[in-house]
Amino acid sequence: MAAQNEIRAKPVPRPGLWALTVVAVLVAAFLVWTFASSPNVHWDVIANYQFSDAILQGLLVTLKLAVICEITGLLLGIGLAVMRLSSSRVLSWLSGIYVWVFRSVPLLVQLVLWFNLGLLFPHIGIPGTPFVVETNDVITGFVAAILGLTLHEAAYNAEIVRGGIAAVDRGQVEAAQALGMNRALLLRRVVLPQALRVIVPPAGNQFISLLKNTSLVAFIAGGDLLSTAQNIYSGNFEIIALLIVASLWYLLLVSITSFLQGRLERHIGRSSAHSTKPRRDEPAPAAVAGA
Amino acid sequence: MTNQPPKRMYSIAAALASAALLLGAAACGSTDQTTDASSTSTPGPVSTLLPESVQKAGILTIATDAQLPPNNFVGPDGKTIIGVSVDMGNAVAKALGVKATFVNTKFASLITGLQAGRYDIAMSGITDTAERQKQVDFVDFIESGQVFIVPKGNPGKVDSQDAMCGKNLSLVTGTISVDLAEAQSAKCVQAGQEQVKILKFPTVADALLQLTNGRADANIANLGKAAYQSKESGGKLEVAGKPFATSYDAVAVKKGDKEMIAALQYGFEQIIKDGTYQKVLEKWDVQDSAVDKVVVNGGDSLEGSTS
Repeated sequence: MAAQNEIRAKPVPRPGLWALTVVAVLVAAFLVWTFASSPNVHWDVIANYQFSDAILQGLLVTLKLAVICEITGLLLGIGLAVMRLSSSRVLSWLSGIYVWVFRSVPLLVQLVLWFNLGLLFPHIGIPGTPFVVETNDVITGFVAAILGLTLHEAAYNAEIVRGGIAAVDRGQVEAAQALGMNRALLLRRVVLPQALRVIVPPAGNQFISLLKNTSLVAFIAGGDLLSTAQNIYSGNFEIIALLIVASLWYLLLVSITSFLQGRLERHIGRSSAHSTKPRRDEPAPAAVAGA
Repeated sequence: MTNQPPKRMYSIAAALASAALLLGAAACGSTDQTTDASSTSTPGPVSTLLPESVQKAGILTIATDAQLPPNNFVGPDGKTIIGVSVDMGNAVAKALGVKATFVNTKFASLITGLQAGRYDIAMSGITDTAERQKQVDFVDFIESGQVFIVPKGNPGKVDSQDAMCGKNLSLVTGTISVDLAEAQSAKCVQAGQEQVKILKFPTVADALLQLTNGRADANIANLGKAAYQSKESGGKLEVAGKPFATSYDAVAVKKGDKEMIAALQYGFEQIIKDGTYQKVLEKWDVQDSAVDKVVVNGGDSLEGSTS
């Protein structure tokens, strides 16, 4: 190739952008420094509690609740979305009513209701048989939390999944039907894999909000991360310090979640023509044009 | 003087309300018939003991968490905060020649707001403990022991600290009761008995619901709160046990705010002397919790203190 044909493009100078970058970095550094050096932020107290048994115990509860309820909530949500889109009117309505109810009732109300189920029904089971138990023995704080969070998550996930399925082009379904696929196979092979691409980002978002919603279990003596921090600060009045302790853990958890979500999105989107970002190892389209 | 409109509106409302009460009292020709002890006469000159900002504003801003009957809670009209703290705060403010304004705040903001200078003092049935004294100063004005609140008939038979072993206690986060139950739990284990099972809830209502619900055997509260709750429960709850672990309920003041502490001490002295203090306690049925003299940071001198 003749060297003189190559275009040596010089980037347009953008002094405004550089200035803005410098200002932004300085402002950010100033904010971090102000916060870190403030005598009112008791870093010694934070260091003391960050890995304390009580806090780690709370962290474990938060993690357990988030992971269990994400799985159960997602499974139930997928079921509900499929019901919603099913050709049976009754199933579709039932699913719609479920979503309507569980998205409307505040999570806090639900948690308190489940936890205090014993007030309404002291015993649960089939009357007249040995299969009757004390409600309070079955519905422990943890069980009430799982119930409330799962049912709540399922309603939101159902909408996310429904949106994902609806986003799959109608032609895909018709083509699969033309090939003679039955509904289950069509869903598994054609619709869901494509819907996943649309589902994962909002579902990841939903998981992060679940992670923090677990703090509402404080109202049912749940003992999660945030309520543990609150329990400690209500005793020693180190309110900001303990809130920072909890926040640092939430930051870590959400960072891990975001990282995994990014990986998952790239994995699912690898065959897609319009994945959001060009991969680094791919040549940029402009370079190809010059060859 | 702050320019926050809500504060100003409150103070105007308070002024109107007290003016109305004054008129009412004058019409009756007697000051005994009004319930609000603080509004029965015109306030004296503004005390020079108070911090300058409070003197200038003429308003003492008091933070309180209005979910703690009978100390501070929302009255039957669904909006006015009433209770021991409110009557006492009004009385002290009047003795100091200023008006009290109450701001309903959740526990966390109660203390941080105090530290950040958003409120002048916090009155919310706060127990004075040595550990908390590292963050704020306390002016102790109620001395009272703890008792058990139990479901009617005391099915769990919780009537002493030792009887707590192996029982379910439903407690309010951040109250001294949690420390007491945890300490007792350790004792139970040492004595080879089952530990105390502690459930913690954010509000009194949530905690007491577990007693009617059958999930918990007892709650621990100071005598005044326990008496009030059992009375309000309509026979579902009762008080059990003899008072133990005496502690102080205190006004929380920003750490090192010497002027405010001196002013409050003076204010309480005045209302103890003129009998308003005792009247407020009698009104709420907690006259047994009276102190002869308010003390500063006296929490660690009592048996109930924890550190």
